[in-house]
Amino acid sequence: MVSQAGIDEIRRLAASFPRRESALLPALWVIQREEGYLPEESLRVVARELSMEPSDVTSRASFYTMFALRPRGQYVIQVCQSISCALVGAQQVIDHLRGRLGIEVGETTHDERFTLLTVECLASCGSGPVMQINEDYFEHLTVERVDEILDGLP
Amino acid sequence: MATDPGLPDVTLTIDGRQVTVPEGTLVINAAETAGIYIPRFCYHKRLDPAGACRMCLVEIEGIPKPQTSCTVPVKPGMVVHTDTEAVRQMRASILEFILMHHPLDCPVCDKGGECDLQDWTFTYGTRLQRHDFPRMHFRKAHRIGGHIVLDQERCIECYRCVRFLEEWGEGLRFAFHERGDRSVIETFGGLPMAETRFVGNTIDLCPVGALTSETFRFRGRPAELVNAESICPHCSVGCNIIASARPTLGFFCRVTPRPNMAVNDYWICDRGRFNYDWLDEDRLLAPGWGRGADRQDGTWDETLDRLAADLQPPCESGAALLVDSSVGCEDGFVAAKLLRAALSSNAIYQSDPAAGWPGLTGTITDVARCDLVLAVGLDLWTDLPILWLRIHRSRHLGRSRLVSVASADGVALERCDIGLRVAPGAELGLLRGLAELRGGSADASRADALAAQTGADREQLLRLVKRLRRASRVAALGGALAGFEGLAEGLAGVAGPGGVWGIVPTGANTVGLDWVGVAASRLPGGVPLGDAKARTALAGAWSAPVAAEEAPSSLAEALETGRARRVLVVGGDPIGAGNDPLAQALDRAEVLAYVGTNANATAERADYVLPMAAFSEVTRCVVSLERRIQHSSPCDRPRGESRAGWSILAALGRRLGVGFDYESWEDVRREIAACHESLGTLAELGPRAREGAMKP
Ligand code: SF4
Ligand code: SF4
Ligand code: FES
Ligand code: FES
Repeated sequence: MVSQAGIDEIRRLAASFPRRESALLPALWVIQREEGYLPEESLRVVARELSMEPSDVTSRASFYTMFALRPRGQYVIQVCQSISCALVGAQQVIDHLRGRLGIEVGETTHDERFTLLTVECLASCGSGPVMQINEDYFEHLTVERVDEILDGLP
Repeated sequence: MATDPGLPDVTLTIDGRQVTVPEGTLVINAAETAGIYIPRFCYHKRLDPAGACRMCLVEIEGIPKPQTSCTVPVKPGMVVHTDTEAVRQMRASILEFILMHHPLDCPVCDKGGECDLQDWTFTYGTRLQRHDFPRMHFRKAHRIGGHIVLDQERCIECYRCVRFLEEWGEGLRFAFHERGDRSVIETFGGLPMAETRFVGNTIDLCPVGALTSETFRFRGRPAELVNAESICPHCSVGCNIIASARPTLGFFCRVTPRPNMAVNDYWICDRGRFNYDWLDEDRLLAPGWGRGADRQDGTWDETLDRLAADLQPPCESGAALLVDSSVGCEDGFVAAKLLRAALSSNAIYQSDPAAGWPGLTGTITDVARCDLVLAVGLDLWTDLPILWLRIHRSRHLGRSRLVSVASADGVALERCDIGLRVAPGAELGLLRGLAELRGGSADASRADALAAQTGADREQLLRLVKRLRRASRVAALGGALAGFEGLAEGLAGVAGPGGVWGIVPTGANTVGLDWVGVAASRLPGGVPLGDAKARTALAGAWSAPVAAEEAPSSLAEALETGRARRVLVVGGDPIGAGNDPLAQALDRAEVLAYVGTNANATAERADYVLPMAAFSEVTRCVVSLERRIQHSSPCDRPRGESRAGWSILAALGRRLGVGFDYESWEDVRREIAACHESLGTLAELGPRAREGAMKP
């Protein structure tokens, strides 16, 4: 459940727009930052605070791929699959991760440590293949580098 | 989209024909005025254009690419082609695209037979699909609440349903989720919606079988239904409906709206749409007598003979009549005549407490055109949904504000722009104060005093006063929650000259019943009972004496004082309705005869049950809250041995020695018309008077 501090922040955000519902996207970020994803109860809170229909909130939240409507692992791995990375071996990186983690793209490991996602261009095309783990970038990937990075995670 | 009739005309050419329409008209509508119907999925006359489906593409000379005719307004000299080879090719391609992931389950789809996708595919489709990848699958037959069953796979993403929810006041109870080829209609968390008011309209709007009715599901194909132009019996708005049944199989099927821009626009509320299980369930099927375990069925003759003997005057205990305010004019008229002429009593009452108080001075459209609507003690959202919707539409377009005043928290204070809570009984004081503040000088201290006097929130009240002073046309509507004494004057004061005001009844025929004489102190035509000349004339017309003695002002009083001990109830369920004092009073009746449709608490307690045909089984006329007289035709046969109310009451009246010679509803209407000159309109009104006439 979203914290009181989170609710206060959402109220501040709402008050800064002429129409309260304009604060929807920043409000969703507040939730995702706190809880790692957008749980239903918290979306109800957002709907109430912004005077919106709850299904209007989930409609918009589900439109944007960077919001998660289901819990994700401790580490969210996003591998770029756009053209520049694809040309220098992104698929090998993805396949290696699928094999090593034993999950398909879009899934989360049983221990809830990793979620594997593919994304479009991460804007680091000169240094592909590229992946992002939570907020950090990892570039010039090889299968060995990927193992090293994963082994080194706390 | 609606265009202002005052706009200048534009002339253009569509398929070689000259068309002249007001500026701002969309090409799709301009074509229709020329008799050319452009195929469409997303466009609907009462929704804002979306340009979502591309089915309406046309060619316009001078514009290189095809244009969606539902989003392009006409221009002078425009040359439009809707029927070229290229346009037909585009339609085929759009259909192929829409059908790419469509489940093609028409044989088990409820929309089959009235599906736009089927129809347009037969007209313009190629009947070939070139793709060989598998279809995508989504949730099917999912009950999303509000009596709606959702099939996500059938949805063609036309956005009609969600536009309706956004533009007509329900709010986005469901919406599109995800995006691209994964877009689906879904409720919040996939959970069923609770307490919906208008969502049923999305079923009619949906051009395919994605949104279907839970109550009509698998009950018949459109071609198998018997349809009738009917009037909703559930409230005083009088929405125009199509009632559908399958008489040969013996069940009622569905209610859908019949567009009438003056009344219900293209819509009905969910109560009117889904509340019909009572037409098939727990019906009274045979006449009978005796209470509880002594109840026995009999023939009509036997039952009526016994009842007539029980009612036969002279008898020390008088008779009284209670007519449910949803009963038609014909039934009400004959019942009241029975009391006055055969049972020499004027103890004649309706269930709606608003009966007889000054009604609305304008039409629903007049109310919707006011820039401020004040509802006092009236829960429009719950009790008169389509009136709320018409007002809300003006709010949505920025033309009106709705203010609600009530002395208890609840829905009445929500769903409006200002919800003003006042102390119980303070409504009248508030109205008087508002009338002064509207006309006089803006004096903050006077508003303060009014807030203190009525217990209203000061800020809210100041907002209201400001709105009121700015408003050029005000509608002031009052309801039972505010108490009726002095209310009409208070409402008139706030509305002022040029405004609309009145006490709004809630019964589907409160106004009509009062008009045909279902009132203790008024004869047919609204003539006061005390008018001896009118009574004599009536006695002449009926060849029977007309009771002159004043009756108590309420049924409860008549029963408690012992002035009435034999009671005739027509329609409704007064004992089961939750009005305990009235139920207890009715329980003291020596003889309780019930002319009704269903086995309910009143039928249970009654000494005589006389099964009455329901609204969908008879021809009748009702008068709405705006005094619109509307004719309603049957789509079904009376269940069991039930008969039209007027024919039961006439048969009883004949046994009591008064002439009630009617063969049909037309005879009854003819007699009604003969009672008073004003009633002529009612009798003339036949099935063809589609718009309904207004009560003078
Ligand atoms: S559910 Fe029906 S009305 Fe709604 S978008 Fe889909 S096809 Fe259109
Ligand atoms: S608003 Fe009243 S008349 Fe109209 S559909 Fe609803 S219940 Fe029936
Ligand atoms: S293509 Fe991979 S970062 Fe741009
Ligand atoms: S009807 Fe014009 S785009 Fe759908």
